[in-house]
Amino acid sequence: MSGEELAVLPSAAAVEAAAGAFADIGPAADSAMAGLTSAWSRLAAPGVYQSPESAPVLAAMDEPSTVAGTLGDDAAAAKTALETYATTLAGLEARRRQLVDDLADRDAALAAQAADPTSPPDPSTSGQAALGLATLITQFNRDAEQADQDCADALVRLVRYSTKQVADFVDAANDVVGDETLGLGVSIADQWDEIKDVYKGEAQRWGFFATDGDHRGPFSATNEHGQAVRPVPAVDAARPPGARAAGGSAGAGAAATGAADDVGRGHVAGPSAVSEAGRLGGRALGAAGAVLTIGASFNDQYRRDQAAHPEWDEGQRRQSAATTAAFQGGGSAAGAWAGAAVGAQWGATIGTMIFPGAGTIIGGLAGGIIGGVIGGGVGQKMGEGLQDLVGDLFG
Amino acid sequence: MDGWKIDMPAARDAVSQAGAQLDGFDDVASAISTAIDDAQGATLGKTAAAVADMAHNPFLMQLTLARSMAASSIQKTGAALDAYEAGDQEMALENSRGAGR
Repeated sequence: MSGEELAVLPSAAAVEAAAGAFADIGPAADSAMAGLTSAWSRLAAPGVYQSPESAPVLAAMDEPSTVAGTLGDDAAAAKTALETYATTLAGLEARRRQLVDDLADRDAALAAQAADPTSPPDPSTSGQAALGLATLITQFNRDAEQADQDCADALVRLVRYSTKQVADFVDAANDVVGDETLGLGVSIADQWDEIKDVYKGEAQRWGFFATDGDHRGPFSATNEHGQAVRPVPAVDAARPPGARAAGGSAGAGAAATGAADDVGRGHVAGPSAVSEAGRLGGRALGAAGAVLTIGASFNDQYRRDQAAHPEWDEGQRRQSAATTAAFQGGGSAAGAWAGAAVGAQWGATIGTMIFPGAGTIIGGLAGGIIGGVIGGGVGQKMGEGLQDLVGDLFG
Repeated sequence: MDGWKIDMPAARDAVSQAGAQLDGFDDVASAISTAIDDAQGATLGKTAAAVADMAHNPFLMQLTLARSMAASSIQKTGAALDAYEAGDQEMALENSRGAGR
């Protein structure tokens, strides 16, 4: 940022409005649990469910209620953090408007002076005034950055689960999804052809496949688990995905040497490039685990791109994140990209590749709520298929 | 409580009704999705990145945990009722056989 460049601020009004949306989470969670506990309490009526082990059965909704309550508490904390940020932003917006006006006045005075050198110098063009303005701009930019940092810190404090707990959660999700009663594997297998077709179409649109459906690009790189990993660019070195060239294929040598391939992926994804989620993916993962891992990989990259490339549009971020998720998270979680070993996991990964909030899809698949949250072209088509799938799972 | 006393229709109805209430988590998911999407759309830089973090952990993990625990309890209680009913029938069958001897 140059000396006179003012930091771009999020809209205070938009942030405040977004904060307000978090107010709906707690009541929704309370309502969901109220319905459940009310229905469940009927077991406690005399003679309905009396057994030696009835006490834990009758208390079975206590722990979900506690978790749901925590969800509401965290939503309230997020709301407060964003509201505080919005208040700070409102003040920053006023300062920014003043600085923009001051800069405009100074520029107009300079232009007038240039047009008529005989005119008396405007005080706003003096060296002292310039220094003062520069100081104000520097301070404004620092304050804007600090406000962003403070809000981010407040939100990150809500991340309450450790890596181990996430791993345990993956196991738990596997247990749930692997339950024969829920039948995930059967459901995905039943719809696999449709899922695969949609996936291949989307992959072609992104340039992952040649038009004949074969993958392109090398697969010579391996991750720390010895699994094939498609080379992906380091974030800072990558050009925006939307700017990459189309067509052609690259040989394995490009990956081995680190030379750029035809789609601008110039770096082998070695161990250091494998995402945190990918490292977690060394575990034996079932479908849900793969989704969690790949989705987390998507999120990792999406987050990094947001910070490193604020100029990218949504499509570019999605594409970059999807690339990483497919070739790093996917390489770790599913163990194979090249097509031969694609299994039910890949069906589950597609959602993560078409929606920026991969976590939403993760929760959707694990929690049975995909239908309403998938957006966009292929997402809609996938949504139809997965809605049916989720209907099979949780309907 | 030493023995078993289960009103099977009433217990099954309670479990079934509880299962139907799991749909309530869809509203929670929608609320989370809306809030996260709005926040990501409204923010930039580190705050937007933090929003992405908390979408997954804790919000969707908590949602999924709460739903999974509830669903598991409902399913297992239903299985317990099945077992009770099957055992009851088996005992009745054994009793009838015994009565015939």
